[in-house]
Amino acid sequence: MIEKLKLKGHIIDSLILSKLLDKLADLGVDCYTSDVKVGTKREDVSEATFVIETEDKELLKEAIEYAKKQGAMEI
Amino acid sequence: MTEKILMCAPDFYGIKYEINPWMKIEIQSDYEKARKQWKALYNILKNDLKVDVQLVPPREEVPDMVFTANAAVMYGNKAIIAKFKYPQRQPEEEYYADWFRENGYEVITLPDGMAFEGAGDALYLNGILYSGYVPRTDIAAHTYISELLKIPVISVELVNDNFYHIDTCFCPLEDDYLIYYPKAFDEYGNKIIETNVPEEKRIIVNDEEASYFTCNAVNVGKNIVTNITTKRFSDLLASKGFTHIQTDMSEYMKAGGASKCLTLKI
Repeated sequence: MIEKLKLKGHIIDSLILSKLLDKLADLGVDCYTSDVKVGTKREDVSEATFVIETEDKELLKEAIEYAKKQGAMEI
Repeated sequence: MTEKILMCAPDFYGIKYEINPWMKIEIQSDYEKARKQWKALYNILKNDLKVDVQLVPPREEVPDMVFTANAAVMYGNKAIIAKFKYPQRQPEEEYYADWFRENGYEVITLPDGMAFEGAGDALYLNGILYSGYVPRTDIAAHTYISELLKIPVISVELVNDNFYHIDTCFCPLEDDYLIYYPKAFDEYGNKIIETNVPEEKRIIVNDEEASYFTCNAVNVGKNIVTNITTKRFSDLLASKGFTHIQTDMSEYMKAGGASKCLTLKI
């Protein structure tokens, strides 16, 4: 099972992307970023698209819930 | 320039519901004592520190309106009005919006369904808006505000239920000093603070001081107004060149608030 999500915001300066990837790794799901756009100015937001993959339905649900708490949106 | 602060008299303040771990309906506030404590803070700000204190009229059905910190986050003449998480406080939004409109501010509202609790969860430090999320404010609101105002917004997750707004555990001061309580943040939040705020500018409160809401401070120039707290903290502030003014906020602690929660810099 695969879920594609997108994060948008000050996800680099706020360490949101790092936190999310760390947590997903701790949960034991596969996760890879497919597209990262880093803002060029201090006030610019960044975006990251990433995919979560696991055969465990409950684990996928938990991973998505955590990602959403950190601001991720399903796409 | 004279500081301008918005307050709301506690005419209808009381513990009428429970929406944070501090609130217990059976531990009611004392009406007269609460009035005296609010007036003491008002007098310190208006008379001692020469702040221009503005007042928004209190409303009977919203006892927490006394906590004006949550009304909005300010950006120049713009007031980005709160979208309260809990229905008990949502009627405040329109009252605050009306006051800002009537007083010449540009009122901005966030999309429905995007929780955001004003300057209770968004504080400026060195040109960055530090914003708390999870307990009361959605992180999506941070991105929305950043794109709206074209300012950097750093999101820090609040992980301790007792410190449910960022202004209960994080207080930027004059000259980019910061009072904060590390245990209210996760390792990522602490890393952000340690990276962005030089060690000599960090004023760390201990468990006892955090429990008195010492971080919930009002900063006017080099003066810091807090609830009654420890001598250690006063000495720490003095060593950084600040004058510490303590005033009893015990009646407001019953609702999970103290001096900063009763004020909004406008």
